[in-house]
Amino acid sequence: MEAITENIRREARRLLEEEAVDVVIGYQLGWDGVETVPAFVDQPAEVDKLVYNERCTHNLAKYLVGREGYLTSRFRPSDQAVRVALVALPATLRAVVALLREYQFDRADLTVLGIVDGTPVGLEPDVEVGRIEVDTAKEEQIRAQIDELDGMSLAERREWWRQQFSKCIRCYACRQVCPFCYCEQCIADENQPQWIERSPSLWNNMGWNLIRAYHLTGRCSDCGECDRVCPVGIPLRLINSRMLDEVEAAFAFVPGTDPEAEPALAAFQPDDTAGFIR
Amino acid sequence: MLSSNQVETLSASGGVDLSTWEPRIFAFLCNWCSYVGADLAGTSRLVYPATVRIIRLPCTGRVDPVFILRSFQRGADGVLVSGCHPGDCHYSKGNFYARRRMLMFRKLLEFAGIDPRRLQMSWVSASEGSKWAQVVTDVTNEVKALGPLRA
Repeated sequence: MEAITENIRREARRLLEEEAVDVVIGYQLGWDGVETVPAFVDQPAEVDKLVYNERCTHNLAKYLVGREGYLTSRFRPSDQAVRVALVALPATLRAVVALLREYQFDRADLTVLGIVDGTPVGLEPDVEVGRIEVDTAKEEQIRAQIDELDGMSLAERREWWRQQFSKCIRCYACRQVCPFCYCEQCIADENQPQWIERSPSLWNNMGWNLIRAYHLTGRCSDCGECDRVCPVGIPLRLINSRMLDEVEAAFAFVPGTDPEAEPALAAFQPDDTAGFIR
Repeated sequence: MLSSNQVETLSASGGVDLSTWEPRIFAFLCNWCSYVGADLAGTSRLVYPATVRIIRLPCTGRVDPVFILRSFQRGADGVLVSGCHPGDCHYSKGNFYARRRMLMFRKLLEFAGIDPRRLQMSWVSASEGSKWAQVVTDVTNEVKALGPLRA
């Protein structure tokens, strides 16, 4: 951990001093000195606030895209475009690959300070600042929960999700934290027509959560941030993981692992599975 | 007055009287094939269950899964998406995209505990009036067996 922190600081200082980038996006300690929060460093003198520890889980690719993203901001004239260095975990690397495939920004504007764990990511980090272990315990826990849900009948599963979704307060934290939710206007905010009603009734919550999951199908980088930020603890990662499995099974596609592959739902094969069609 | 037996049946089915209940099926049809096929079924005087409410779209590629969820919210017990046979799409590939979307959305519904058979898809060409009548009959029977989708 300390070695990774040192590497990040060294690379950040070098990039900022060489003026190779305008800002380094990484992690710093929060107000309590325990939690970590995103850091945006644009002065070489400030690089020592950058840290890395096991609490650094944020998917920082979020800050690249969207209306206020560093690389896609509408509020910045094109002659003031910024170059960004990004501290990227494996899931962040997958997100960057998928976002590049969605033509969100130019690879040349981004310097990737990668922290890798051996899982496939379709991107060679510009600088590898660290190597971490895969959290297999977490993966097994998710797998076990999905298996438990699969063992239920449809009615039981519906009841289980009904209880989860009925907790939703429609704060949209899951959307705000997700690097793939970069739409200028979210479908949940549209009101003419209002496809997804705002009041947190069960069906409305189900509508929101299922559409959110569907919009991530074939794109999700499996960082688990939606799950972590949910203030009422809806296990959103279960749905995302499940849809990742379905996409892989149906189309042999894993988002973010191949920079050339078309996103699963933005492509087709003439002989795709059609067993359910009359 | 309802007999206590009737009251029990009603409450077990969420306030729906199953003896007279008919499913409501929202059908999203493409303008070029299935809508014309359904029209042909009508002009040919074919008889099929009056359970479908047809919504005409330019192409099945226009079917956003949010339409389907919204249909379920607003009283549909089943949704039928129907378009041109593969290779016949007026826009060459809209139905190929729709096929992948419906496949994935069915998986999502299933994981959320909604029977995927409530979302059906069919290829019905402009000359297949009788196939349309058959599809509606089959889908109606299948959704009827599943019972009402209560909120």
